[in-house]
Amino acid sequence: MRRKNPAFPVTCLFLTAAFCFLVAQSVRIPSGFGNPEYIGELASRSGALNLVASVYLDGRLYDTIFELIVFSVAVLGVRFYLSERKPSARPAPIPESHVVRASAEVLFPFILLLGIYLTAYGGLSPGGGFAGGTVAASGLMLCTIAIGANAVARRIGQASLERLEWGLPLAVIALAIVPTFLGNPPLAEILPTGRGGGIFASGSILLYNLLIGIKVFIGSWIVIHGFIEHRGEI
Amino acid sequence: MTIQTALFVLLPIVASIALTQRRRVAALIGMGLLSLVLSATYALENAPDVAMTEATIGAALVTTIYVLAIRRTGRLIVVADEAPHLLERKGERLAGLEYEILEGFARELGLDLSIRFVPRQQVETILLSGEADIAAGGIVREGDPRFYATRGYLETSLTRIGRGRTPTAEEFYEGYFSDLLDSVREGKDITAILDLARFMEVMRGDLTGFTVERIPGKREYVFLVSKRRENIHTKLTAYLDAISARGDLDEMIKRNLK
Repeated sequence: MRRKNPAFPVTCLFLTAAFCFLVAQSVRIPSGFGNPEYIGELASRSGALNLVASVYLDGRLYDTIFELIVFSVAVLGVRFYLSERKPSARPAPIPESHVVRASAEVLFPFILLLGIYLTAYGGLSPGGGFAGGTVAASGLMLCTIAIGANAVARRIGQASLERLEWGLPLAVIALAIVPTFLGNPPLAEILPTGRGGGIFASGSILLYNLLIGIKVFIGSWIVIHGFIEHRGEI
Repeated sequence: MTIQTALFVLLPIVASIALTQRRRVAALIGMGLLSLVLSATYALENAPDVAMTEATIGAALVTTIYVLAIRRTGRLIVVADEAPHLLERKGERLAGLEYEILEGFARELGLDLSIRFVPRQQVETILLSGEADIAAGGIVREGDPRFYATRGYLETSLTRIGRGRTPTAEEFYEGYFSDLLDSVREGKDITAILDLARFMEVMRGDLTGFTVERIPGKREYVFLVSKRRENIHTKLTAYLDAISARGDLDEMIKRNLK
């Protein structure tokens, strides 16, 4: 279904061009890398209390971008190969028991909230976009078990989500390139960082976490939905 | 011994449990368990970020996706109408000769046996649609090109019974066999062809007023296998040969058909 859409080749071209650009700009490894002070310096520079987040969303942001692209390609692969198969012609799924449905209704908002919390506070505490996004997606999974995949897809607006899914990695890469136009090396912080450990103190780490969280959330859902639609029922 | 050491010891144990399961669902649960132990290990080794990701992806999402994948392939789906002593419900459980054969066969393949009871005339339709792998329940059929038939596992014969008018049935009964049995007991006008196991069951009731005519010729009970499941046909035939050669089949027949 996607093969005739120009979005796919255009996106590929954009990704390739963006990476050639980044590589050409030569990602600079700080001279003191390997010293214990480097981590401290990185942490104070990024304003994130979670050192892990300050490494993978600041000092090693390009690693994370590659990771995001690996994830996007995985989602693309699932969609590409499943689109050749006909959706399984099974009738609507058998509704689960009322217990499952009722508990899904109660639990889903909390699971979603936990996912958002983990994503937003990734700079301060363990969590971050990857973990938060999958937590939120597992909430959708629960709803799928309760009311069926197609009902969930209708309610969350599948088509617009699929478009958004492609926009997000592009947004992350675009944000990573922006600093070059401000006279900084690429992948540098774009938002001011603060001190004191507030949620906004980590500046661009919060932004990246949110983008990655949404991306992982949608991507996981697309994979799950694709498998359900094309292979079997839940 | 610290809890870390305990978890490290547990990791290979859980992994080998997951690897040695024959049933796919059990192996899958083992994998989810491995993810949880791994996640606990990460958490105790001061890597809470990794622990969290491992728990959500490894234990929740990946397990679910695998469940979806094996949901169809992990089961041996049998469609049948109940047949006394061959495949029948006894309270909550299933029993009978065919049930024992199919259960053993499913266990050998590492699949979960799932039996769907439908009215007699729907058995073939469902098998044709590919929704089921095997049709069972006292099937006597030769030379139907739409299905694979296994070797016969038991001799039988066909009997035509009827009441009210001259029995003209050219086909097997329609609907559920239990309904047919009720109709006979209530003395309704029916006409049907029955296999030996079902005929014996009907005979236990009062057959006065019925014409009973045995259709000549020797017949055998078989299983039908969907044309889309050629490997299941090959394996089921081999399995029947094997249990027959071991003498297990005779044991089963004695146990179920006294």
